[in-house]
Amino acid sequence: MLAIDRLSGGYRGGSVLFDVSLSVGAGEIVALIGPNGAGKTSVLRAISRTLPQSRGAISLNGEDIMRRTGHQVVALGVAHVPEGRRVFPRLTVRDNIALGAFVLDDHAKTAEAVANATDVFPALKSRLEQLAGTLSGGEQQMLALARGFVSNPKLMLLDEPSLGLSPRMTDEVFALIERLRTGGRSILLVEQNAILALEIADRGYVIEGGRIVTEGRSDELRRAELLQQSYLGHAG
Amino acid sequence: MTDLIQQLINGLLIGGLYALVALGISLVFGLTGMVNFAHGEVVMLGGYLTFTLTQSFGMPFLGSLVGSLLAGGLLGFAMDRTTFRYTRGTPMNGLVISLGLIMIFQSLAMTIWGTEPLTMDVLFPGAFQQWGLSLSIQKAITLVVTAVLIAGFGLFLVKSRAGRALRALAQEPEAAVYVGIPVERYIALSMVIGTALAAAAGAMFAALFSITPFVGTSLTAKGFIVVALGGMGSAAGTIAGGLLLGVMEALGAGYISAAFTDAYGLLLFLLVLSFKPAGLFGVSGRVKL
Amino acid sequence: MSARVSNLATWAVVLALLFAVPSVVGFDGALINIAVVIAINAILAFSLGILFGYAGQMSLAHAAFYGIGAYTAANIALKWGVSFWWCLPIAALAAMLVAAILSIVVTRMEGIVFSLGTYAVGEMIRLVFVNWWQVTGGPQGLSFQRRPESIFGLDFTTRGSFYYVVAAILVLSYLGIRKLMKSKLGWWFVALRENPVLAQSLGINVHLAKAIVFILSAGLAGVVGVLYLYNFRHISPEAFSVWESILLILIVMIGGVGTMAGPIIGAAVFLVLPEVLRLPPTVQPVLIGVVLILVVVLLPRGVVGTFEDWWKARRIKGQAVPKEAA
Repeated sequence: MLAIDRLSGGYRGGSVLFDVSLSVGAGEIVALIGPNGAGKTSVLRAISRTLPQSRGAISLNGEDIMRRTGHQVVALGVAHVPEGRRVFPRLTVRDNIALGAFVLDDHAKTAEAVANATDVFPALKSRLEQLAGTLSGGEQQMLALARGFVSNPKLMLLDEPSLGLSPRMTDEVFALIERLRTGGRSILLVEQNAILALEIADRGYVIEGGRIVTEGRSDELRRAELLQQSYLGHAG
Repeated sequence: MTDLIQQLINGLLIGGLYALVALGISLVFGLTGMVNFAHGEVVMLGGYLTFTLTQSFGMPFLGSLVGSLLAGGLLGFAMDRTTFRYTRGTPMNGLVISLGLIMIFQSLAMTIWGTEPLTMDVLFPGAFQQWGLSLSIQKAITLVVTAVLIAGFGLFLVKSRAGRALRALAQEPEAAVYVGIPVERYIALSMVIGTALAAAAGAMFAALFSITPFVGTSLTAKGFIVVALGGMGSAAGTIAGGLLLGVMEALGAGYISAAFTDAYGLLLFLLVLSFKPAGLFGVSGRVKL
Repeated sequence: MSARVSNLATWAVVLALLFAVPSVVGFDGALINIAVVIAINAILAFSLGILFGYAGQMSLAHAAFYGIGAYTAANIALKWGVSFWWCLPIAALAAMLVAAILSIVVTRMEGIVFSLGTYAVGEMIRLVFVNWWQVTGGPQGLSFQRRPESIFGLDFTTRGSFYYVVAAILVLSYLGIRKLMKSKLGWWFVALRENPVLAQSLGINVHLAKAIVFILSAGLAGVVGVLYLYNFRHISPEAFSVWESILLILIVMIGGVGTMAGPIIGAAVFLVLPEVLRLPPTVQPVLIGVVLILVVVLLPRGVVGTFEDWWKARRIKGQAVPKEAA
């Protein structure tokens, strides 16, 4: 589905990614974990073509996207749910979800897609006419996921969906993410909360200082991570 | 009392035109963080175009106004594609470019229409008279057209897919990319809409007042003041700000001194800039569309 | 040591060149007049350079301060017979006073907001020039027939001798700014430009530093106002509008900051070239506008970025030469 080969790049101030290679298969949930500032978000931005500078190769279903712009990548079936949710605060929940289906460019199809999305995210059903900025953090995360899901993407890029959420809300969001993989949809999940991410992921990559340092099956990485945490004496 | 009401009507008339001018400034600032000093020049050129279409080619006023509106949009598109698009990450450069554009547009207007003020023949003689108030037909038409344009713009912003996309882009630019909004195309669209409204306002200005190649700069200044008054600038706030400035000017000129009217507005603008910069131009610099 | 010698040699050449100008172009006539106008604009570019180049603030009010200098000098000279030489410091003080009051508001602004704010300031001051006709003569302006008084037995009434006054102020202001930039204050400005947050944490009073730059640059502009008045012998509001400020910004952009030759060349390009090319008055602004746009579009790092590059290069050069052997 997604293949990244020796990706380097960053911002005008300097590079943040160095020779990053990873892949996500069809229907797979892959976790990209690592400490703050390791370059996790930059990898997602490179895929969405919003990272100012990037070199290397990124392909979607075999198609090279290095020369594509942001909205063209979306049209190829990629939905990016950014860190901090970034819902459109002064638009209604309904308009937010409808904008997620922007690429459909069809009134009837959009209405149908919005209805489908609210079935998957029932918590939003009663809030459709509310301004998105007035939702709670957890609800905003639901909305951001719904906005990404509504276009029926083949690949979803999820950036720190648990950030700032209560443990209960986090569990709810992660339960939803597991359901999003239906129909062969792939998910690349970026998380600081490694244990949680590896619980629902099939495979994982660990990124540090802009480089992939480890990769493997989730249960292996999870064991290593737990071991490391018990050594360092802190959890979560 | 009738005098006061008369002044209020005149103020609303001018204020509506100010709002039309300011909407484009506010829209473009909201999407790009750029301040376009050449915006008022589009008003000036729109005015001259309607002058020529009605006076030299005998076209009806409303037809000329639509002509100005279309030409204004086209000019906005040309400006964006040839210059402003190179300044997306650095709005300060966009500002400098807009200063260069002013020089070009003013010289162009001087060459074609000269520097003497031009006044249009009265297109619609007559006036409505009621309760001691008077409203010329030209002014009545201006009020109606302004209201239609503002309402149309509002409906576009709230109801249409493109309008929603523009608001989304202003509120969360990065997320707007992730839902598939083609950012460059929509920034160009905002420029086109803004300059089209400005040129239409220019057509109405030209029919009510005289026009010179130099009116653009002062209209840009009015636009800035309106946008600052309206809170840089919810579209609704910009419209309210325009009406407020128009009424304030009409009352100020009627009851205080006319000489420093412009200076009061600038002073207000300066104070808003310095004491509420975070609220208006903000850290995020986002417009509440 | 050799650097010092070559430095002195450079200065000798520069001074000799400046001194020789009237002998080459003639002590009277159009050419020496152009030399005076170029020098005046070069000083203005220096003074704007303090603000724009060193402190990174693009002011659209600069011409207004030089207008304040000119109107102040015209009034005190015409009403009380104050001499040219006393007009210079008094005009500077007048411009600095206005700048000091305005600095309360403008130092709160950054970047685009600063440009917008100074635009409002420039327009307001121009409106005062237009409307306060008891002092300014209104839109028609003031005519002025006085010449600089003799001093130390030297006569400054001819064009050529007036050129030497302007050239002397040009050299002095360049040296003064250089000295200023090497002082503690100069270091403040750099810190402010490079990293305002860090500057604040180092205990630099950001508002005060910005206010000082703004006031100093206005003061020098005020001095130039006096030169303008005595050179053109007529002043009107349009000479001090925002457009003059924009032209100055362009001169600074072309000429750069920190060299003496840069602003002189920049001023020459925009003041002499149109004369030489005999362009009609409506074409000249188009040319200026096109150049302005091209400069911005073609400089890959942009206007401000180019200044940053320049500044960084300069700073690295500065570090290579140890200042104090402590």
